[in-house]
Amino acid sequence: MLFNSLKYFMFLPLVYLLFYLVGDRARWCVLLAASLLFYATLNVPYLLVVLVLVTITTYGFGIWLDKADSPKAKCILLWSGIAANVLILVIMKYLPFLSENLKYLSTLISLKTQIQPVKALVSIGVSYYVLQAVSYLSDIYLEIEKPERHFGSFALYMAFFPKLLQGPIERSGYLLPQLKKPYVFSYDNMRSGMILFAWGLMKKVVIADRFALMVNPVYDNVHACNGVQLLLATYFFALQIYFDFSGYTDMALGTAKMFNINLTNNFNNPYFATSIADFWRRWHISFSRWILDYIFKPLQMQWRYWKNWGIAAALLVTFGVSGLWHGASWGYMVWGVLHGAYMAIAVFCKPIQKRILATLNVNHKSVTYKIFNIIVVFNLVCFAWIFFRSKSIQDSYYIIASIFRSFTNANAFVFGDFITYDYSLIHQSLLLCTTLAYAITVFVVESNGVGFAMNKLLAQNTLKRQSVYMILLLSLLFLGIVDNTKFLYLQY
Amino acid sequence: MGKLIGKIVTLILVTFVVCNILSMYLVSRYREPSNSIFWSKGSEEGYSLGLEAINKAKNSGSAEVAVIGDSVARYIKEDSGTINLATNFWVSMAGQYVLVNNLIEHSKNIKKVYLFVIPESLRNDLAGFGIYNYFVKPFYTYENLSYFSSDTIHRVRGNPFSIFYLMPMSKILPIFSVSDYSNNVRTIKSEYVSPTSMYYLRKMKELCIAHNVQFVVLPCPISKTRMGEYCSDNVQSKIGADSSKYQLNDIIQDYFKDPVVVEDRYFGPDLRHCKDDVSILYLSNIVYDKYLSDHSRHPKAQSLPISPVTNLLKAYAKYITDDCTRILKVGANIIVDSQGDDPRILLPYFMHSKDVMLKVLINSSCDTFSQFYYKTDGADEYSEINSVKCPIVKGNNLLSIPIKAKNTVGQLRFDPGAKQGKYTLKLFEASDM
Repeated sequence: MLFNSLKYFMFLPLVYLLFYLVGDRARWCVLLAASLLFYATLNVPYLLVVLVLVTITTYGFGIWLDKADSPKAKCILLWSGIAANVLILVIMKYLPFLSENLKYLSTLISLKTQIQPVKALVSIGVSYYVLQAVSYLSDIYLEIEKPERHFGSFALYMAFFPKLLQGPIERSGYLLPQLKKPYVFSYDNMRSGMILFAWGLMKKVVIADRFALMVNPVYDNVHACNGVQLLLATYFFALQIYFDFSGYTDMALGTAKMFNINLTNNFNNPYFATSIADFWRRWHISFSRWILDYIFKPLQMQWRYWKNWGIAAALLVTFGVSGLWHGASWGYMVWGVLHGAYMAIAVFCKPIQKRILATLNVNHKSVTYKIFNIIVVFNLVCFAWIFFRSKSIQDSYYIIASIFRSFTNANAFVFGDFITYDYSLIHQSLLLCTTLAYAITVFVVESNGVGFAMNKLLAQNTLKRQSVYMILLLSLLFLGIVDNTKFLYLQY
Repeated sequence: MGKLIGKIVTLILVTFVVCNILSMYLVSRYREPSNSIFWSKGSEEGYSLGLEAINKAKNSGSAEVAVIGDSVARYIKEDSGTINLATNFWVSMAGQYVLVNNLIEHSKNIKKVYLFVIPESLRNDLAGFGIYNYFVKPFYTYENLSYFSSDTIHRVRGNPFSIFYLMPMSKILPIFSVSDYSNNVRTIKSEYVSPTSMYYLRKMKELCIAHNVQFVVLPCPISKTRMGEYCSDNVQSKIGADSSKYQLNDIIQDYFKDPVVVEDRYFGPDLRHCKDDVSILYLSNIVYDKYLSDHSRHPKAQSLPISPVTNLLKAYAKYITDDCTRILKVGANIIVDSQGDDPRILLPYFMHSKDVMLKVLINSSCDTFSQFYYKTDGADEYSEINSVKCPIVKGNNLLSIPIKAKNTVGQLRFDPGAKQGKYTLKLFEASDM
């Protein structure tokens, strides 16, 4: 089941009730059973098998790693554990991609053997908990953490349902202690958890899903759209994916908070970043920290003698892997490599940039300069989103060419054309204005962080607080799109 | 914990009240037929479709013939004597019954009610995801409760959210769209016609008889492919068997007796709905010719005034073209811009039982041929046999084409060329011969 489904609204209170009523000793059982049931409701039986396999494998390798005497044995165990988990991920997610490309290669070199493409398997959540497993083993190898001996607690760490499907990707040192802590009912946590959940739900069903109404008809049929429509759809997609994923994260954090568990916040106003590096410090934070700690830093250390070239190469590989992790297609790969290229270019251009700013006497701390950087970074990110969202690389090229061509055509923009959803023009305009108004409100509210906004809200008097809750609920009820729309990052 | 639960319950109750108050206002706006903000397509279509039909049924004016039925019947054109209240498959016979009731109650002029449905509509047993949006929202109201059988109400109330169905908020809040009847499906062992359809067809017939109104159930023109499917599924004999078994002979015995079967090319991808404006007009004319022939005919609204010489260029706004063809007025000329290689134009009806000479000065962008098609009595389609073909060259061409009126019915079809290109009509007249 998904967070934005009616089943979940029945599931969560029941789980909480059971969790509240049993003693501390059995609470991990309730949460683990609930997590497995949550995963089982996706109606893909082999996913549960994969989760159990990854859990047992990682648990076992963790214990052996800790017991290993020699560094060589530790190294072998670490790489074996990682290989086992990655192999599971490759089988679940990348076999169709590999087989398709092998088939293409075999036709290119005129191989006689026919390579049959493999059917895609559903792999919801696998990418996330495999990364979690790899980080667990790495932390044990680096002796940052000790392995968890209690299998039940470890299984719960892997399968905890608020973060199971789409993260955040939690480090064992951060989450495990919280899962083992005795539970004491906290009114504040319960209240802020519920508010955060409702806030996230609003971002998803009122904002993200409405932007989807404007994006999908364009991106699903790019050749029927002009450059202006494609450009607007690209910007709307940037907003859609942010609100979709951050909405999910808020719901996950809110749910966990009800159980007195704090998960990592994945977003920090990413579209207000002043550089691509800054963007990745604000976007999908748990994932970017993961690739920084477990891919970039080791590579950078390995290639440190190449100086800037080493950093650039490490960035390209890291973000190439990041792109591939998001999906098994060349589009995602290009998206990832593009971000790596942005960062690599920034590394080389930094001294030049400083000289230019000094020559032009530009104060790099001024508001104007910051706004300029925000606009540039946002557009660079949106450019990369084209490859991320398009159905194919060819479609991406077509979109880019159309966008640039449209600026040479004075008659390209017709107001009524920019939304293709089958509504009257006045209704389309209302739809867009409402959605943008909500989006701007969220940006303003979250400008200093969700936590800050939450504290400010809870400091208000009862009438003001209740009014905010009412507006939130009414927005959900009147404006929420409720046709079982999936979360975007569920597919990665 | 108790304090928290108390606060949550209070918030829910207050929200419930506020929702209903706001919804009451929005429902009243929806019922205003001129309110274009609310009467849009998309997810609200089901609701506004039903409300529009109910409103029209209550304000049928001087219309003597009413057309009700599925979405396939929505293309049947209205005129001064005919009103079209066609809705959708999901409205079901229960919803159609509400429309007939409203029609007869508010109009003294109605003499005939035609129910045009696809055979599948007879199977509709108030089960399926569209029932909530297209039936429950517009039709399941306090006002209409008396029209429904206890079985219908029981089926509606079988849904977990049905306690809210008569409240204003259930008509507005998108969250109620998740309710569906898929778990409420009754397995019909052998019947084709569902119990719901049987019941309400009988009710409609009885209501019409009581008010001296003729009630006829018919299929709309069917595509050849669909007809083939119905034949292989023995639909005709199944309907016939149900009609005998459940005493519906006087209602649907002749439903499939003589259906109009039309080439697939007039239909869209689903082979049920019309493909374009030309198809709409064509199929609408077939329905009029075959079933509504004793009533005023659609092209009347488009016919040109009688005159010795009729300038067809002036009536360019009434041309009906296919999807790939555009009509542009440039100065005194009309340009036919065709992106496809088979441009077709249905001309406004102007034949008045006279032989006419068509004079056309056409500038073509390529060597091709122009063709005029006409239909004779009994013909369902245009054909090569009933056409006049004139080769034309790139540049100006003056054509003189005689058309014999005694053989001609309906509208003329004009194909300016048989290639993609621009055709400029500089002169286009019809004069008595």
